[in-house]
Amino acid sequence: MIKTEKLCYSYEQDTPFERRALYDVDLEIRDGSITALIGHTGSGKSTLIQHFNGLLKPTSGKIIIDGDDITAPNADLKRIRRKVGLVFQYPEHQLFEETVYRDIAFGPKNMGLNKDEIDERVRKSAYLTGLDEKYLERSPFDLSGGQKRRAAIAGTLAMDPKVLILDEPTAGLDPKGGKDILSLIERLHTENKDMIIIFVSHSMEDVARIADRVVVMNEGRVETEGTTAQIFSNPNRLRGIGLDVPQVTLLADKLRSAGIGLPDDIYTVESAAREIAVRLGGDTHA
Amino acid sequence: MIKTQNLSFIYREDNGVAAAGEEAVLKEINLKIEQGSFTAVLGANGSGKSTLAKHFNAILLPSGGKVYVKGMDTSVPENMFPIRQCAGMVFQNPDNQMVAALVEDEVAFAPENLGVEPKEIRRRVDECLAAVDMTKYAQSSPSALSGGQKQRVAIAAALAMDPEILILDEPTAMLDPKGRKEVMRTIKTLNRENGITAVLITHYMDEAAQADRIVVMDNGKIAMDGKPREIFADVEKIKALGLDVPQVTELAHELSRLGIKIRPDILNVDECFAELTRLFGGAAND
Repeated sequence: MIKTEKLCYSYEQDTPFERRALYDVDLEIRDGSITALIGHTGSGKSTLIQHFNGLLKPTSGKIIIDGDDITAPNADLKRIRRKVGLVFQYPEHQLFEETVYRDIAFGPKNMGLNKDEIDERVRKSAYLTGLDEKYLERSPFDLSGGQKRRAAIAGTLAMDPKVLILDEPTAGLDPKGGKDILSLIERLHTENKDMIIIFVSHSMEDVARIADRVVVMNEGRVETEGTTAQIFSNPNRLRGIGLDVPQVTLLADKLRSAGIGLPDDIYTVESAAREIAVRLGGDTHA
Repeated sequence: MIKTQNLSFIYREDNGVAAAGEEAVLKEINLKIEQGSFTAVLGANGSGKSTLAKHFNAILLPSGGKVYVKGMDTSVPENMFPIRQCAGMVFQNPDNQMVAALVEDEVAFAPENLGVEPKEIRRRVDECLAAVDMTKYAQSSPSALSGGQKQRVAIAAALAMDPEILILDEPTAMLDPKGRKEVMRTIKTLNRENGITAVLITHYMDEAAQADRIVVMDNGKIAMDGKPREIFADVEKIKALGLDVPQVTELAHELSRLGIKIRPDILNVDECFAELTRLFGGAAND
């Protein structure tokens, strides 16, 4: 579990340029969850996730990961960074090795693992990210956009993290590439029941598709959190803070306002089609 | 306005012959973009969209065939400056495009370099900032703006050259939902009210749905070309090309599969709402 207590952070503290980025963030993220972190640009999402693996130190407050207080003065940051893997935005820009294999092996090699262990980690990560083994000996620069991103994610997975954090994992990918990354995240979730997966997203459709919990950030604070259904049940609140809901959620909301009885947890095309078809006498077994 | 004639492009070539192992990124493209139109270009990563767009203002020159911008051949060196003045370009990452310390200096940058009269520069800066609704931020630092605001400043900076064409290469990919809406609203206003010819490259289907025309690229060729309504009605074909359709279009498609008689060419939430209230009204009267 990840727990933050009254987490505060200011950039350039004690200078005339001091800017507060996080205010009293209290959060609990449970093992085995896929949590989406949403919020307008500058709401503090990226600042928050950089705290989870010790890249930033809070100005005040605590972060406890798996019972470990990572903000304690004697905290072992190396161990924390192995436990918490962070995949940045456009992670493929950080690929640098001659082959995909060596790029994925970079982390485990630095951990001092032996050759066989490294090989096992590389192949397992390639498998988990859906990268065919034939790509391992190629230059990462010869891969397509979606494949490069998977190779970069594989590099983080090779560290065998307990917590995986992804900052806008589908940004800049075409729809199919984006869907492939979402399926990859779902597969990781199924194959590692205890893994905590956190992703930052501006795509409400992506959130609706895979998240089970949503944390909404606004102006450096946690505006609200809850299940995906709870969060999307209030489109006006989300729109008021620069966010949105998926098109079908907005549609269902309008239909309800027009007096058509629909449940308030519609946020995927599949559920919308089912609920509407039933009420219009369609064949939902088709 | 823009015309390509058998346009081919190969990244590494010698006299139109591809280097070993190199494939053409654009293959004999024939395309005409009309003055005052708003065209969206869709395509999977690597399909050639951005490469095509870079031919529209002579950033790239054809390996084979010709590109004419307002009748000017892009391969003639003397045409380069008039073409770049006529066709402005806005890229994905606003932070990579900002050079000045103040928003108004950013917008003044290009006309200053061209040696435009100070009085005329002032007039253009005011007019362009007003066109993107950023007048009140003239004296702000670009770094203090949100992503959507930065992108609008980037558009204003392109407008300061007084172009007739704006080419936007995934201008909303890094923005939050509110920023995306701001940028889309700006593009539509410039197109409808100022008569700017707009070419928008995007991965967001709901944005493409707002254009007059969609060109779909696949593997260096034009795979589909038509009005959004025609293009998105072919859900299977679009998906086979690694793309998607707007959620409400997919919903209509799903509903018709479930036996509901619904218009197949729905493009946005309002149309879907109107169609569904009609169907529900009919159901209530039965």
